[in-house]
Amino acid sequence: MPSSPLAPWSEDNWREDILRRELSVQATVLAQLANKLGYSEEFPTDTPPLLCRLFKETAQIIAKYLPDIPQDHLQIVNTVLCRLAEFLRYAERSKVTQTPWSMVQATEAFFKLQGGLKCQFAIRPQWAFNYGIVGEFVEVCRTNIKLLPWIPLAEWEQGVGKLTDMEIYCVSFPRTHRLNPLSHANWGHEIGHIVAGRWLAKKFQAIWSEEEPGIKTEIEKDVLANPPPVIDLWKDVAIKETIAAKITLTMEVTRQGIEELLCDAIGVHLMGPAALASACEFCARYDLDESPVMRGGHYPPWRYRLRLMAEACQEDLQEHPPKAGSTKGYPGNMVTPYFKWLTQILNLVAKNADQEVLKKGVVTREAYKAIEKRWPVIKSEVIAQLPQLSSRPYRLHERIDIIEELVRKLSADLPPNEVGDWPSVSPASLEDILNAGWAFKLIRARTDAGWATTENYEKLFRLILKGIESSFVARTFGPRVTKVGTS
Amino acid sequence: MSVLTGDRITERLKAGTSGLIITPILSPKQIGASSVDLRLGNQFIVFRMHMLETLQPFNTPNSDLKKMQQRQVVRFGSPFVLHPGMLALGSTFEYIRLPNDLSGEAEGRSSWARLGLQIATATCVEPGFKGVLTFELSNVGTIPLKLYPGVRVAQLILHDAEPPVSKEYDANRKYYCPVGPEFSQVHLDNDGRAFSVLE
Repeated sequence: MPSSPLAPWSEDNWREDILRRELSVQATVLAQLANKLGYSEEFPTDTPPLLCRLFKETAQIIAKYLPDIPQDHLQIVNTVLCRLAEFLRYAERSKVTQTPWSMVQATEAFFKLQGGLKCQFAIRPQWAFNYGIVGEFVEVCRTNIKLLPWIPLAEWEQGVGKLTDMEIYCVSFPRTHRLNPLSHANWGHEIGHIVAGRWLAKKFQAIWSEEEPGIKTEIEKDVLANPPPVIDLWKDVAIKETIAAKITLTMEVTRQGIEELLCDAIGVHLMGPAALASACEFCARYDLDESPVMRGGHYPPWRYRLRLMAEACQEDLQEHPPKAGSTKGYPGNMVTPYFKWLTQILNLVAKNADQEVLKKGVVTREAYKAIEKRWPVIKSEVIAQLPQLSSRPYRLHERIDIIEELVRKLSADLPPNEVGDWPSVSPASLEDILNAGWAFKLIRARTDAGWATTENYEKLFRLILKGIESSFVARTFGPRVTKVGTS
Repeated sequence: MSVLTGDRITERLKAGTSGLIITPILSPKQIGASSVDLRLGNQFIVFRMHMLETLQPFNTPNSDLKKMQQRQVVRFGSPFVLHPGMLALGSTFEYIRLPNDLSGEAEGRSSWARLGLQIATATCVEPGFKGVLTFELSNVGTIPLKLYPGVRVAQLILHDAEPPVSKEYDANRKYYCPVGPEFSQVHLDNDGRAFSVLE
């Protein structure tokens, strides 16, 4: 309860006096900010307003129950409120002016359908040159409320209503690439984190339990052969600590390795070579052979990732003769520059500098031995979790006629939104549009050294974005228009 | 210069990428006896009147012109409200490419005009044009109008251009392959600047 103005001075009373007053204002302002933001109606989908509502309700209930909070919980409330305030930036940055709004609705629909995900996605830029996914926010808020036992969870659930059954994530992209839809093929990887994360939550512990004894033996051998440089008195303790630390690190490297590789596999499965192409352009900025233990994220080396992605796209990285009844084989004239560029990745991955790096230390060596042993099974299990609609991987060589048609449209300065001749047209799929966009870009970039100007990129991107939006609207609203007719 | 009838429009649309392109046509019924109905896109440019005291297009820096105009995007399924006396730029949802032997005129649909909506004052579409058409939307009625992206607000009337223009409509034009309404580029009219010096 609030301290009386007459209570004797103490540090605890001093802190309580400030926090109980200020946190109440902070929670109320936070709820107001979230509310105001949610009603600004400048979002490309309903998801950011839903996020705002979630944060508003959470801040509001905290404000309501603040007078009942025990003194020693006030700092926890501060932590929760500060996190909520930081989360608001995800909604705030999801406004249309900050996003490639014309592809946001289409992309969300694609991931729900093709990824089999009953999730909502907000999409926002980040100033760091990176793609990412954060969430799930409903569960995060629920966990925070549970940390504050004096707030009835049932009342919070009643306040957020239907949101309790939702899952909301925020997917990010580099701000400088806002209007670059080709680069956004990387979103397939990010969405993969949801699918892969769920699978790992169920299965990783069992995998690790099976692998750990063997890994422990190898680590012990390694540490004993290269003991830590300490005085004899502490040697045994230091050896045990080093072994324990390396086992923990190996587990983290293994888990993160599996997760990232699965995300790549899902991206390629859904988007085909467009995912490989966008990953390739992204990773060209970095060391392809950086060890997973060199950075906090424990990411697999890029060359290793590209190799597995190229294997997944193998069918599209080889030529195919014409099918029966057709004179056109793969890659055909229009896709050849894209095909050739993609097959250059095979030169990259033929080098094994990444594998040398992985073999250098016992941690990465054992982690990747465990991953490689299980990779085909793991990958097929996770892919099998995708809905029936996505059971087959996207194959560019099977779509060659459509891709060529879309490339022809781009060449004629037309958006690649539909295939067929009017009136027998159908909306092009997001995957086809992105692959056609890549094919067109590579035709131009490889045949005209002066083509890669900002103006040309901008024109290509806006035609692709228009194509994605028009195809989404035709798919979503077209049947409704047909149903009601026109007068 | 003859107006294309519905049958001829259909025939030209069937010619594929090399012919007349209006995409996407969500319903074949958009093609009328002598015109094609066009839908409203979801981007708008509204004017921020408080940003400039007056507009002198030829003496105003381009950045000032942009400062007084703001792009707004409305989700399909949500309305854009056009108040009486308000001017906003909108565009067609359909992307259009006219071959070199056709020109066009965009006009408002009578059903909307009767509610006070005017969609264009500059209606000519030149042979070879590619992109969406910008509408100058204004509500001359007395009641605010809710405009939903996707509704049919205009019609495109097509004419034969004889002989076909020989020069391609290229990137040097003021409005090239737009996918949404374009800010005015009147400041690029050099002859206008010549006259404005007399002021």
